[in-house]
Amino acid sequence: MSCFTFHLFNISVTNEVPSELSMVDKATEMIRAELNSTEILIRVCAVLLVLFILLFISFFITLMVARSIHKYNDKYKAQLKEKYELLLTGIIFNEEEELETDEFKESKQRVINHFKKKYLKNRKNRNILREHIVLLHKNFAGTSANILERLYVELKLHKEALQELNSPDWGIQANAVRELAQLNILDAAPKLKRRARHENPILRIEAQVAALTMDEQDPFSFLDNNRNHLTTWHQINLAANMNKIGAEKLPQFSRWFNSPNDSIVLFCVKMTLQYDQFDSIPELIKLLKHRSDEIIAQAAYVLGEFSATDADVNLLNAFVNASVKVKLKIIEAIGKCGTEEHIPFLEQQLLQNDLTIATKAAEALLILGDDGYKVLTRNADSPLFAVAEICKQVLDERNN
Amino acid sequence: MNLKKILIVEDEDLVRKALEFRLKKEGYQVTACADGKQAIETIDGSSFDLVITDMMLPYNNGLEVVTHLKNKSKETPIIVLTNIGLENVVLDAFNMGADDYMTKPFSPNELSVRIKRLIKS
Amino acid sequence: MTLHNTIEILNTAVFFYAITISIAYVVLALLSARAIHVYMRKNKFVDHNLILTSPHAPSVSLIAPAYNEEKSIVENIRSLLSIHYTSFEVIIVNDGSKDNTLQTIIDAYQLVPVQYFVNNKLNTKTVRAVYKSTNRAFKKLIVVDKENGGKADALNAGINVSQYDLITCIDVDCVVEQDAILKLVKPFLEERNHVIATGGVVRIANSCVVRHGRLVEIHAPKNIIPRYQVIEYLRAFLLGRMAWSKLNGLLLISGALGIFDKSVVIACGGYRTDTVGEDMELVVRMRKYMTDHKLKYRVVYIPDPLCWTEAPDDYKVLARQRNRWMRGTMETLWFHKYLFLNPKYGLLGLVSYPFWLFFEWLAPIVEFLGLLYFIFLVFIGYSNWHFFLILFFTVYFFAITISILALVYEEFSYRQYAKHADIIKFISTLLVEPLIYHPRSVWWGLKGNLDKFKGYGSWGEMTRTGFTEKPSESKE
Repeated sequence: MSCFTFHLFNISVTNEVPSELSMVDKATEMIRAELNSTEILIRVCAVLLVLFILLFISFFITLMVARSIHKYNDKYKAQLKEKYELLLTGIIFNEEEELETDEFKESKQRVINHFKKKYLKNRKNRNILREHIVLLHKNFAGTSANILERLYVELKLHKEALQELNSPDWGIQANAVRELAQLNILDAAPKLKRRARHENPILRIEAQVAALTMDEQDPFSFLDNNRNHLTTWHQINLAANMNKIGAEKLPQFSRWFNSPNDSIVLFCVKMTLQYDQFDSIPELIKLLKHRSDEIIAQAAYVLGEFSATDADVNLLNAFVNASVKVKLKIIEAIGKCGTEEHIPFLEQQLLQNDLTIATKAAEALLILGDDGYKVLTRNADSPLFAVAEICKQVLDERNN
Repeated sequence: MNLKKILIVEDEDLVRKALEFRLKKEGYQVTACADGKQAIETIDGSSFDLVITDMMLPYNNGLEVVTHLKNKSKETPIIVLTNIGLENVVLDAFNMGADDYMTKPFSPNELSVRIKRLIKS
Repeated sequence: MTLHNTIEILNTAVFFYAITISIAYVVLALLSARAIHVYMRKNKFVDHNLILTSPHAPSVSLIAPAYNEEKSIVENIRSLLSIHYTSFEVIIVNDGSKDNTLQTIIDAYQLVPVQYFVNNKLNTKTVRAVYKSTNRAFKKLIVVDKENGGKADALNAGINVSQYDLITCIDVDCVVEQDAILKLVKPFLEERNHVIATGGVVRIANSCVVRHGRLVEIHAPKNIIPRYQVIEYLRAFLLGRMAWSKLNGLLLISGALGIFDKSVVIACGGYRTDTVGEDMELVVRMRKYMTDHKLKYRVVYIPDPLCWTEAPDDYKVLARQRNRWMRGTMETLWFHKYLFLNPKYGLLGLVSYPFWLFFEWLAPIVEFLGLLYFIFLVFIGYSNWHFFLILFFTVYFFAITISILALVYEEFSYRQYAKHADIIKFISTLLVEPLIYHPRSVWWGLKGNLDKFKGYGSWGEMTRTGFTEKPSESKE
């Protein structure tokens, strides 16, 4: 088609020969004489035009086909989920005592047979069931969770997940790790743990979470000699899943306070607070001399939360050359673990120039009780406008 | 016999349906709402022997549902559901009159024991 | 130089401009495809509820300026308060509304004035009072009443009042998805580099069903004018910004919804009140600040649809909006002209800035001049209709190919439009868009240029800025 167009073009261009020679015509003729460059442009355009038309058509087809497939899949999945839900709710909401009755066993076997016969012959159906079981397991604990775990194994769905662990695709692996850990398939634990130092950060998180919840001996070994940075997101994942393990299995997190990896130190300081490990107060105090501001701030915060009265001298020492961020945390901590002897210090901070620090100091004074309250009411009449306003704000109960 | 009436307010389909199923099986008359606004309207329209509400709800949050119910009928017991880790929200709910709480994931059996205890007392 | 030579050179110049802009779009589209794919794959594993329930997640201050919003403000605040996040506050800044906005809020939420010391780190118009609710269920709500000073000034006042380290600026009339903050916060948690800002996709809510401040059903707009804009937004967000974010060269985070690191915002002086493009200008200034202080940073954009806004549905209001956008772009480009090809600012100076200069600011001008030039050629008798036609069709097919590609991306990512009829509507819209809508938008951009040059004389002069055009204006 493009050749045809070209042909037409060439004819039409050469056919138009000027008859009169006015100024404008002269110019146009000169232009025509060197039509070559325009011709090149025309050719380029023609090629592009064909390309874009083809692209447009193929995108259009892709769009329509993808839409139909997606729509069909959605519908199929929704229908199947509804059926699954019906079958599963029938057996997972039983009382503990009912589990050993013949009636329950019978209905469970009926459901299993039904699944095997009707739904689990193809991979897609199995995957949807796996997804659904995981979702239910996330939302329900106790007997319901136990029934789901048993059902998962009896339907041999775990075998599929185990196979997926060998996939070269980290995404598929991560999904399998998560599923096996969620459903507590203990046999798989060593395999899952092996991925705790994987180069892919997402798979790494999943494997570490799995180690936390399943590893009986040493669930925290991934923290030893770990050079990978733990992002806050990573820490949130670990912390959330730690709730699932018994407090007696938790280590003393101060064990890693000397780690060269600052992100691990930070994480362990946070966990010291999360699990009220008061024994670590001396180690926390040592961290106030750490090279990282973030760690000092976090340590100060935890000391405050622990009401660690012994920490005051060290906190005040750390205050001297600290950044504003650290200063704020230290003032907050002094408010929580200090006594009336720290009131002069806090009043001094209330009266200095940085109003963010002053506000923090006022809040700390409020926490310190009657004597602090007195300082605040005195300064509410201060001739220094900002100081007075800050004190009034802190004293206004509706603000708290 | 008069069936005890329970209101479930929960936006997650799966949890709401499962609770509905379970509580109906135990012989309660169950009403379920998926958001706070609907819940407040339902509370205005009829009375319940017990209310179970999630804290994170669309439109009116769980706290509002709790205050609204307590303003209307002080005696109706409330169980609040919340995600694990959100215990500070539970404190707020207790301050407004909630009676008990459960964190997700929760055991349906445990919930049913708590319901029985609250309805009896 | 002869006329012939001039024409020759001009032809080639126009041609190369067109080629460059097309190649740029294709490259951006490819980068976007990759970035969206990676993002979707990564986020398959993400349970955003973890952020919701974690005590280690940062606290966020939501700041929403309100000006003459008495009809909708109560509902809007309610939907902000029910957003899914644990530790946050909602700061509504009443920017000297002339209607009953303030009293409406006070009555609905049982507010009382409190003693509140506003630390004026950013200069703003006088704050008259700060209100809080006596009902503990609304303890996250803070209402600031101040003298009128425009949107930027209101945002600055909100920043002064806010107590948390991350701030979110929200257009109060937007429908915000409930998990929007969770998703926007996540980049701050997972990037090793200092993230200074994150932004998300804005979508168009016309003809969608909104109930109690929440989006219930998504439909293609019935009116064709917002439908053009849906195509436009999909192109801009799915094909453009995702790629810029990957390159770390993103210049604009929509004023409708974004999270910023407050310390950086304050360090570089907050929103400028003398521009109509305060959202873009702030991001550019924050970037400059970070580079000047030799700090590593990122501005991250996420492709999830987080926020739905009612788009203008008549040409008059739309013209005003586009006119303002153009002036905003021009002002930002002018304030930061030192960036142009400045290697000190890396990608920002060498790529992002020139791209905006040439393709966002100059495109309408070049297109308009191109048209004049063509008319001139016709006039002098140089009318190679064949060249014109083939050029026209090439450009046309390029335009609709890019548009349909945006629809393909949408289909493979978020699939917000469920009905087949919607997609057919969009395809018919994108077929006529280059012919009917595009010339208008070129004209609006041009008008913006003219207004900027004649209306305000010198650059950077004080221009009192209002709020975004309200959809209600168009209905009145």
